[in-house]
Amino acid sequence: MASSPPSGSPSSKEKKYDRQLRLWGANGQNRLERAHIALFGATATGCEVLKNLILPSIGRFTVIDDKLVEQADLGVNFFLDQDSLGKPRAERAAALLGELNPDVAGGFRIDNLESILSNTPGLLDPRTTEFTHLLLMSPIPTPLLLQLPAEIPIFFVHSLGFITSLRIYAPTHTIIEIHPDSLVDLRLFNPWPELSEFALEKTSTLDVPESEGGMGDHEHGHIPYVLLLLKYLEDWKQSHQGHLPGSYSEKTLFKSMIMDRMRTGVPGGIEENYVEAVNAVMGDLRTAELSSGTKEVLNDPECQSITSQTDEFWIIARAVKDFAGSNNALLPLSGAMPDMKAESRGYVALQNLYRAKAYSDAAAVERIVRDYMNRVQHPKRNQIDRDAIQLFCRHSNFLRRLNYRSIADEFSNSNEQHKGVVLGALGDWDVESSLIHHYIALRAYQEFYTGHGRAPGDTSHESCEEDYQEIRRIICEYLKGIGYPESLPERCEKVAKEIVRAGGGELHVTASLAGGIVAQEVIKIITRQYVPINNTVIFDGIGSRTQTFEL
Amino acid sequence: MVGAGGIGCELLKNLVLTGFGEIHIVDMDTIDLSNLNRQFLFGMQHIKKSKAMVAKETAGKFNPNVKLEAHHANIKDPEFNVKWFGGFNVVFNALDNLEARRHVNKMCLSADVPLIESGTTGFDGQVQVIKRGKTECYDCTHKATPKSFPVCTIRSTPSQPIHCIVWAKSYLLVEIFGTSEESSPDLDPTEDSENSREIANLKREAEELKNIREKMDSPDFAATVFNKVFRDDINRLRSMDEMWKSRKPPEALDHQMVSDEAKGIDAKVSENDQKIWSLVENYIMFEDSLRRLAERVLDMKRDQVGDEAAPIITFDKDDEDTLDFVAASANLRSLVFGINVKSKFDIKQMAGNIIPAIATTNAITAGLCVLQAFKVLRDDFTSARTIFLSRLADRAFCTEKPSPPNPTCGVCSVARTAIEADIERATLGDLLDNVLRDGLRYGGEITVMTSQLLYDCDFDDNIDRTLKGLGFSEETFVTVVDDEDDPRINLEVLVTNTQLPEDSTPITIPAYFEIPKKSSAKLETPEPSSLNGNSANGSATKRSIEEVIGSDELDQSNGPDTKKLRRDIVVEDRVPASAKKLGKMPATEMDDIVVIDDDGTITID
Ligand SMILES: [Zn+2]
Repeated sequence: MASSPPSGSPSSKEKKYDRQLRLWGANGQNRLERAHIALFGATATGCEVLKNLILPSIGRFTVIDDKLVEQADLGVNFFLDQDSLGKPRAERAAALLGELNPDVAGGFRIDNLESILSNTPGLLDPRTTEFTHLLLMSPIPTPLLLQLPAEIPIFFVHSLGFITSLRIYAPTHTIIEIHPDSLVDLRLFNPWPELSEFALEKTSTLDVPESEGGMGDHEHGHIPYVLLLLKYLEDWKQSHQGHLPGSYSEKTLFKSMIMDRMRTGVPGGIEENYVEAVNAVMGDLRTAELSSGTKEVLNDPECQSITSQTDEFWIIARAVKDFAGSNNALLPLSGAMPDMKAESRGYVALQNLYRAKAYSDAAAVERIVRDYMNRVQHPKRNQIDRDAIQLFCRHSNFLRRLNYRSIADEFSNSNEQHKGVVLGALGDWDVESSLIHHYIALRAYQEFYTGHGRAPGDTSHESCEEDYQEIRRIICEYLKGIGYPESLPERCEKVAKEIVRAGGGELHVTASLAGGIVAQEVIKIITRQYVPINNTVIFDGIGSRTQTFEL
Repeated sequence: MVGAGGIGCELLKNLVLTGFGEIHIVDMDTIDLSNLNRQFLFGMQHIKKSKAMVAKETAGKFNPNVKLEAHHANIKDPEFNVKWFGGFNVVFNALDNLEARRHVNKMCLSADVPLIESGTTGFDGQVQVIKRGKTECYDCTHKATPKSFPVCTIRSTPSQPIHCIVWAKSYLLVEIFGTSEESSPDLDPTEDSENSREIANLKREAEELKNIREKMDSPDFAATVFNKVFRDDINRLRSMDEMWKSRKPPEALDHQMVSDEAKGIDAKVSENDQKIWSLVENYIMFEDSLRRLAERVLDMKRDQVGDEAAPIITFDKDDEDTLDFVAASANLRSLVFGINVKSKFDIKQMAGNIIPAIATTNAITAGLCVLQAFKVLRDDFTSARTIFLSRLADRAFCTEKPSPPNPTCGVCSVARTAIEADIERATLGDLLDNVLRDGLRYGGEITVMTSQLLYDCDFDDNIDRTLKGLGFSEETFVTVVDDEDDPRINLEVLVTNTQLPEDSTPITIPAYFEIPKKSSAKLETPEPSSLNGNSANGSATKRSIEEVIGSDELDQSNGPDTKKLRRDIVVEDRVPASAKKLGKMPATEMDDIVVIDDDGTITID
């Protein structure tokens, strides 16, 4: 699981984080502990997100907020107590959150995004900033969002009544460990010579009856199914002009061919290894193909011209691409093998064969990496990380690259892709159950706040209806802008009413739930493991549902 | 709230801040270091203290208006009887084991109290609303039970690493340091041995090990144990030729040989918990951990006063000494049987049934529990939802309508009645004649059971025994199966022990009521529609998005249910009256069915 295991006996720290190390390993934990998170807005939701990041031990956090604690905060925010009343929210929240985990360094700043951007821009300048990730709690006027640097991942969160949304922006995000269900790649259609020879040798007397000097029943019932398949594929090829069973009907025939060779005069009447072989036919017999995620990575422009500035990820990716180019388009072997019916010795021998091949493929990739790095005089050419290359090779068919749309593009009103997503969702046959209306209403909320400096519904009674009409107007304008031909959908109106009714207020339950959803995505981005949402997730607490959109 | 662990901490925080009036917390566990990465109501200073007590203390500070009560106890204790459960508006299950979940499920069904059941594993989680007669119950779908292994597989013919781990944890450690009387849930004694001679041998081997245990203070204790379990017992097994006809025979290890090789190697070499240890490293770890454990027992013996029970050590995945011992012993046994050796890290997970856990999943799950509770408290089970969390990027979770009760479920699809009995006087015959035949008009062909069979038409030996003699306690569930043609559905009788006047019948008789026939019960219960799906078919993450979205309530908003839907949205606002600024705007302007009371709570017209 962990690619670079911690050395020595488990410390109390490893014990404390044992349950999560089993999810993201030492690699993920190290990345987490190097993160410095800035929270803009010590709201209930913001504090809940931070709680869920401090518990698994991020490195540092800084709470930035310029308000004083009010009575209203106490009812919703677990991290502001009675003693906090009248004191700076940033200071009190940082103190109470800090108590959650002594391993995490916490700090605060009585300030806001607007004044930082104009008075102390160095704090958010990618060349000088200490922050690795920014958590931004609504409300924040749109122009400020657009001034944020493109180099730092941001998480912008709305939490209103029962509605929550999270918008992620990150610079190009690459993932090696998406944690697929299985890394197994048996290469049954493309065996390398040593594997073919091994299979041939182990199965030479497979179909000869014991009475005629063939294999004994015990051995016959313990030939690993991988070897059975390799052997019978050879037989198949001989009787099919060298073709492999590719189609469904061919595979069905191939299955019955294997069943015919099973010995039935054994105790129980069947051989488990033959059953395993038959069960693997549909799933494991396939031509090795590049996954779409890996294709995207290997065809990324970053791979094409390697310079001394190129990130190691892209150099390894390029090396893998070159490796595949000279290896019949086959990626480095993962080396993973499933459990199977076999004698322990036979299993280990087969496993060693797969592992040795994986090792030598990774070594070949490492040589190419070394070549590139030396050629461009890469600053890290003398510290090539063998573990990282092996990890990359093992996962080479599961790579992922996410290019997040900028927030500026989302708000430009002229971005065709954005329009396409929204119009597509509005035109969907099941639009009535879509959460796209929540997005549209929240977007109007954002514009309202930007224009008025307050949340809709957050004033005296008289203006509520006015606020609602204003939100409605904004929505209509937006829909017109993106070319929506019809009148305002009723569901948009409903959600807009709900948002006005919330008056910018949070509910603790929603804040807590949003804290879980947002922190989970932050962890995926920090650890560079698992696939994070791209780029917006909406939660509706009334239906207890979520939906994601690439907006 | 049953369980104050990962979900429980989040849940309690949510309930307290939402302003629930009275919350009872039940948990028998104490706080461990490995809880602290998510159970935020606890700190380092609370390790070894009661979860229920500390959770109450920490969370209580945040809302003095909530009445909190903590029970550091097992939810299966008799004090938590049906009446106790009946005192709550809603019960939350935030448990970590199947057995307790099933128990609470049964109690809530019996008390007719809604239950919100939840659980997490890593990034996955689930929330389910359970209400008698309205939704399926926890036992309506088959739940995988923790695996147990036949004794002979563990003791004589292991073929997988887990067999050796169970042997080390549930046999070797127990025989040397524990009390072997307690049967382990890992071992299934009902499985028949291939031959009875082997069973007898295994008994004798265990006896021999117990004798060695007496020599714990001798300097060659480790050598004696080693030679016993890895040499002599193995040689004995190997000599049973018929066992090895279709298996590879085990190869015994010799202490002299292994310890010679290990000379001069420090015990530190085996400390890396993710490395696969060699034979020698495993041996060093075995000897070293055995010495540590023996010293602990000897120390405890010295401190023992009077006739206190003899000191024992039981397996705890977080107790490094026991874990080292189990890891090394399991691996040595694997080497003997030619089975793959595992790292200590992996063995910890396998031996300790460790489930990965993080704060984020717990937060989401607990939040969803409370959202469901809002609906349950309004008696609105049609808009309650079953929710599955997953780590998939296309959506954080899937939502479906709860399925109706499974008409064949033996736990919820039963008729129910409750009676009182003086269990020291009342006999099984009284129950059969007075309650079942006279009172409820059962025929002759019935089967009556508690956790054991009490009566059927071929077994009437117990008729004259008292209920107490048959194992009845303060509260006992009796299941009655109708064996006539066209039978009634099963009946569950809750028998409560009561002192009844000496001169009266020792058992109360329920008024007759119609118990539906099995045949008609099946017809009346609506089949789950394809949109509702059935979680029994497996993980919801495999379902298509159309299926999931299509099942949601909002697809009805064009139909006659529009009014109800609007109501749903508005009514939700009622509970969290503490929401900041929420009360500022009278919802009446937007929606004419809502009014705000003087005290600020929102009620429905
Ligand atoms: Zn049921």
